Amino acid sequence: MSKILGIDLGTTFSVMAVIEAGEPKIIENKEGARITPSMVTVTKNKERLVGILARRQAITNPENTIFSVKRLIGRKFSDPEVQKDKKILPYEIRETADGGVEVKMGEKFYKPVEISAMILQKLKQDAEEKLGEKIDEAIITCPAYFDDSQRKATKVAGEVAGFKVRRIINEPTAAALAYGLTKKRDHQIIVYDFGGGTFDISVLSIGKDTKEDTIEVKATGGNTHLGGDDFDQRIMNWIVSNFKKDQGIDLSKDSLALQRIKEAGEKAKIELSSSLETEINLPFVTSDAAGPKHLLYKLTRAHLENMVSDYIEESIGLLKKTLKEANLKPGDIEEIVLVGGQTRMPKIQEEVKKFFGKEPYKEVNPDEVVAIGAAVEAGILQGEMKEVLLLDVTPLSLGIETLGGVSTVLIPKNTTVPTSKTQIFSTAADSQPSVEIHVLQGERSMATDNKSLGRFMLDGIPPAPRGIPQIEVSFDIDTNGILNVSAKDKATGKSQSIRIEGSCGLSKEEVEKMKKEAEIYTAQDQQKKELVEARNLADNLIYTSEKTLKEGGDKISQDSKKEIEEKIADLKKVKDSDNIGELKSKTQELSQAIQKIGAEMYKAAKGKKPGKEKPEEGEYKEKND
Amino acid sequence: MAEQKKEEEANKKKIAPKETEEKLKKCQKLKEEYLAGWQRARADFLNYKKEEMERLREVLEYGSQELILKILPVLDNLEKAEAQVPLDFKDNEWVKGISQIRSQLQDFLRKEGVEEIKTIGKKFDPNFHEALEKIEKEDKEPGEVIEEIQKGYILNGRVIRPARVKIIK
Repeated sequence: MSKILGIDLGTTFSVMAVIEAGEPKIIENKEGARITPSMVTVTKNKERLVGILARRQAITNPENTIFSVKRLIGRKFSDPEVQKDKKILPYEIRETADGGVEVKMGEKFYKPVEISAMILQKLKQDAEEKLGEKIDEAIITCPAYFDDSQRKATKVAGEVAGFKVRRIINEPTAAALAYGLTKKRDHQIIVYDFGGGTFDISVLSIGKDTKEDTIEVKATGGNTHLGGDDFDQRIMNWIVSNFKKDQGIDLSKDSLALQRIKEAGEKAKIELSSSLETEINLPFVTSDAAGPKHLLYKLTRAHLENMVSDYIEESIGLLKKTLKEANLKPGDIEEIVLVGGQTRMPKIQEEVKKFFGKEPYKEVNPDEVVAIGAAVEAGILQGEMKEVLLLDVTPLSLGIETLGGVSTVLIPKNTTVPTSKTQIFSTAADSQPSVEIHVLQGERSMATDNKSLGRFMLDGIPPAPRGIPQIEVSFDIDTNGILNVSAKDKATGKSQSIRIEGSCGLSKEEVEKMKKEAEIYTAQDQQKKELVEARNLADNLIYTSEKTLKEGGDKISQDSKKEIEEKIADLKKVKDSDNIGELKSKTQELSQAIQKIGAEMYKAAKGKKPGKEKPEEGEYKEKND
Repeated sequence: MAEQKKEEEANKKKIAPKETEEKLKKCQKLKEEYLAGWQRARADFLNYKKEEMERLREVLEYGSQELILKILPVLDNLEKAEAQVPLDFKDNEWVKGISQIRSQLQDFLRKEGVEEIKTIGKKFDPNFHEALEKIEKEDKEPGEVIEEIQKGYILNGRVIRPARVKIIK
């Protein structure tokens, strides 16, 4: 079965994705980029270029470089939108005999459908090359406000490109699909899409009996001429006017300087999404009679937010308006999805969150989420995402309690089930006849802070020094989340096990609560764990030291023996205290003393082969997998 | 009541073979579906592994790309500074030292597999060049690159940044 390509055919950029191994994945184009400019040109040599190559020659060939054709597709020439865009777009746009639109590229006129088809064709070719197989089918997305004629035109473009278009789906629906939100019923979703050149709001409504492909769009709104590019322009203007004020030179006439300023501005904007301050640094930006001039400005996040606050306010105003049209209040919305690169701006996320009083979904790359959603839809059509194949993950880590009350993880959280893991443990004392396996769930370092799922004893372990018996502990979780824990003594083959149902069956709230707690207590837990580990180390060193003295005491001097005995006593005294510094230093002292003895013993035993025994490193430690 | 029950049971027995057959058919169908799904998952996994290997190779080859792209503007600016050194400073030892730092940086990039894109005198090619301006000049071929504004670079055969150029109208 060949793959179905999911395509986000955007106004400025297009993105494509497929389902692979049940997961959506973005396909890079031939040039190695994840996004392709929706741009087409015909050069003087009649060569057709699509994507980044078309963009690279755009400035010198503006009248033959077609972009933003999505603004024209499926529209009538008389459409006010077309009339508006005609004034802005640098290429020739004229009316066809049947009242449609045509654009001039090279010597010829093309319908917007043909231009879109050229973009889709490039995507098809690149995807086929990348995946090494033929791709005949596609799912293409379009804005929720597209009417029948625009949808039909988009479909035709796909067909002209050589695709069998399985479906045209709404961009907001695709975004919701990418987050798996369409599985829920009786649900209102807002998709807030702030792209490079357009701002779209869609209200999706999923009724009780809605099928996946009939998600109703209750209302749409936005501004087709508001986008991240406007933000860039503001930053540019700010830089130019500042420079004029400081240096008296107007850079707005200097196209090469402007180019650098534009890039630096965009870079600053992106950086301010993750840091609070950035530097716009353009040495040798221009020069006058007095010599070269440099540009260096600091821009803070707060300043940028201030600079574009009216745009953000406008978007929230449009949000209000659209909700009102849908007869909904902010409280009626169950989920909010952020789409478009500009939504990475913290201020926008904050304002949207404030408006709805809810955290929006923003984890999937907002530039790619629509294509991802188209691929998810493709996966559903292909049957690859069938319910039976939707695999769960463990919401919290699973493990057992080990020496000193430490929680040792066997299966970390977010592991896809079914899965199993085996690890070897040992005893903590000489001739220990049994071990207790205490099964734990949670992210905290100490056993007592985690949830106890059950415990059992494995007894009948033959007497042996500590650390010698090998107890094999296996965890196995099946697809239903049923956890089987077994422990086996490798020497006797004796085993015990426990079956725990509902190990994944915690409510979302419980899981969140436990995760949050783990986060809050990270530092504290780490300290506790460190203390226990230091204590285990001390304990172990005391054990080996005493053993060494007992077995080789006759080979060493009385002085050394006395020193060690004292050091052991010292360490024993601090062993149970909470003073980790002292514990570590005393351990260190004993360790050094005992090493000296080791050397002495070897000297005494000269001629004999060195013994095989090495100091054990601590009990209940993993020996192998 | 009891008789009715008996009768029901008898009926059940009668239709049992058919029911069983249907059940078997259903099971067989499910089995095939599951087996196919399992095989597909296995195949997907193996393919995924292969792709991951391929991706890893790419990461190794182009992993430094992001970092190099961030270093390039520093080199650009060094070059800009050098190009604008006043004439009477050209032989200044201090200025020469700065030039040496620039060539050190270039040398580092070369060793990382970064190559400069050739521009002036070449025919404009959007695979390597980004045109910023068109200039009229009589004695030159239209489409020829006449000036380089910003150098372009290739890393292991892939254009990581096109050269920005002015071309002949």
